[in-house]
Amino acid sequence: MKNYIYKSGLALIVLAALTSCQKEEDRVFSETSTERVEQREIELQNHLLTAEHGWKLVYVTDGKRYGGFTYLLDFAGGRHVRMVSDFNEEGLIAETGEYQIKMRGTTSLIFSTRTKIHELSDPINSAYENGKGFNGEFQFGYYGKSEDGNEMYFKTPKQGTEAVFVKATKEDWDRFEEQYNMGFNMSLDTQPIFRVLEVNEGGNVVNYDLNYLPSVRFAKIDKGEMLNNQSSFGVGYTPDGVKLTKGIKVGEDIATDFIFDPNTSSFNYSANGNTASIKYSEAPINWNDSYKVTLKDSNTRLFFDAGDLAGASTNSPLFRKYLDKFKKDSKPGLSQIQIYFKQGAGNYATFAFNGASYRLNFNVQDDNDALKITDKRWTSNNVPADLKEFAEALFEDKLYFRVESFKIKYSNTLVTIMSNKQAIALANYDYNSSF
Amino acid sequence: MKTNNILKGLGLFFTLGLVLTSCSSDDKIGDSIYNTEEQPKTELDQWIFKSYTEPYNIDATYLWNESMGKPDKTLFPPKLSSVKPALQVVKKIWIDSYSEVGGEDFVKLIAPRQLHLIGSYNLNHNGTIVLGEAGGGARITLYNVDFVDYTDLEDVREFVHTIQHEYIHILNQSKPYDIVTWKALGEKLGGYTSNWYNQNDEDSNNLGFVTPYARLNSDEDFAETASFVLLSSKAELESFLSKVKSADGKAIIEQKIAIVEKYFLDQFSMDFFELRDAAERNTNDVINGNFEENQP
Repeated sequence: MKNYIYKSGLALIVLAALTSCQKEEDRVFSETSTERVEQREIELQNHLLTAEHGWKLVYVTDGKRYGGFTYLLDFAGGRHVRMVSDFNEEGLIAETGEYQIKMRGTTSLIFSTRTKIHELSDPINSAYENGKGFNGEFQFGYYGKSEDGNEMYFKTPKQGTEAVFVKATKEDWDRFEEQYNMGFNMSLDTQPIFRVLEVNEGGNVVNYDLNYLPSVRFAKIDKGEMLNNQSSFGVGYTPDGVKLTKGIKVGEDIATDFIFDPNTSSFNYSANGNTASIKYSEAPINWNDSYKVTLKDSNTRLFFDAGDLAGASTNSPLFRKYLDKFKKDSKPGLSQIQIYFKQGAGNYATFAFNGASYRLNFNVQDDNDALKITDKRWTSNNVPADLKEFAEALFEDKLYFRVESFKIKYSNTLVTIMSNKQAIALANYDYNSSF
Repeated sequence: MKTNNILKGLGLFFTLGLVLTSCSSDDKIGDSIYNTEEQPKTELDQWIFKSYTEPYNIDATYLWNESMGKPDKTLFPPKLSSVKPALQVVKKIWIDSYSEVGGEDFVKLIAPRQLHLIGSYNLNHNGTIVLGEAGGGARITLYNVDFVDYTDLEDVREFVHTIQHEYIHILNQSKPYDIVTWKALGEKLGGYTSNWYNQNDEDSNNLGFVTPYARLNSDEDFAETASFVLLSSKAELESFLSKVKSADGKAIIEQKIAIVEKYFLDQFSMDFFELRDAAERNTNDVINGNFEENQP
């Protein structure tokens, strides 16, 4: 018995020896996976360096809520990349950071020290939800390039956002400041806050109310009919106008490029006898009646807190400018605005300004779409001049209301109020759940 | 029988020989298919190597690595220009103070193996901010290194607090403190609670804790008490104690500080208050801009 075990053991060893050397396998690829990963990394690294003027990325972090932020990226050998962005004024000053190419699920390009692109991932500068920044990522999985090599395709790992790097031109760099400045024309302080999209298809003109949010570069068609099943679009700036990140259908064409006309301050598209324009408007066309709450519910209270709401996407650039101006000389500035609508008992707004509180009483009238403000009077005569200027501009004539669908930090509904006389818009908490 | 055994032995020997040699071929082992070339080190990398890795066996890292981030958080890596000052300040206030009082080799023998820097704030969804974190004593992560004003005392203290706190944990892992006596003190008035974040400073002080976070458990209490003293001047500590309204609470805090003092003396032959003075001196040097000297 022992012998059998011994012999069969021996036979197994011999069999193992004879079969273990069969090297040939059926392979799908001629290289091993490791070799292919290596090759992919080399391809990406080399291709990044082929563009004479670097690459241009119009980064749309979330097409449902954001427009495009443009980055010009000039990669150098080793680990350095020079970058500019049109996110803010600082973005125009080129900055060098580091990048790496690593295997992260797939071959990935990682911007490994903070440069411009990280401004979309700053938790203390969030457009919508607290702590989320502008939903940006700075790691990009590489998925290949176009046949002519002029485009490279990437996808972000967390949100699966597609990003296309296009070879940049000398003109892109030369006119980048013009491109940045074009953004101001989309939200001019000197023009009303309301915007209209006018579409003319073979003489048939339809106007849509457009709610444009400059901080996120996103436009929504307010109320009214939908434009060919599309109710929103993002924009990216170009030196000559804006480029819609998702075009709108005008006639049989898809309109994406709108050119700025400095004479009318509008952005215009034209093709095959059809036109479309993004224009400023003294008043909205179809508005909502959410303002009526303030005439019925005597508990209505709007609460703006600068600590939580200064970065809200619906705050207009002019309102942001006022907030910045008030903060000068390290003072706290305008920290809170509370507006009480109490009907018969009187309406008033209080302003917490540099540690003191000031009160403005006023009356209201229903003005079809908006609340007309009348009989303004301050309860004290020591109101600082700059606060007075701001408050009286906000309450100058009519207030328009819009109930927002997003929330910031608290579960309270957000209500944006807009002045019809100056381009002031600010988000407020609906303190007592009136809306 | 004997011959049989010899034959069997020989058979086995040859078979094994066959197994061992049959797969060998004449191919020589080639170069690795991986790129094994060492990546060129930047000036900053070389500085880190000389200042941290070589003398203290601490890896100071700053490049983004998602495995060291938090998947549910939005964070970004530091600017290149923020890395060296942050590491210089940490070295000055933490390493230099311990080296001065505990001896040159003190930190070399007991230290976290990695210091990782993150440029952005680490914001919780409820708006609170995480300043730093320690992973099992092996890695300490410091956040918001892009936003520290090194001329501002409170900013510097807040930044260094993490490392002073976490290093106490690392010391505790090396040499234990008198946990029985400590726990008894901690439970004398308020006791420990996982609900510490709903407590305020004043109430915590009156219950014998230096901060609300100290109420989490005795280990955190010990680390908070020690780091609280290390971050305060003598006058500030006295002023703090004089303002604790409850006499019992104050007595407990004083007894805890005495235990910390005894711990450093018994376990590490260090004068705790001498360490505090060194840290204070080095902190003042930092806010006066003197933290670049003695660097390689």
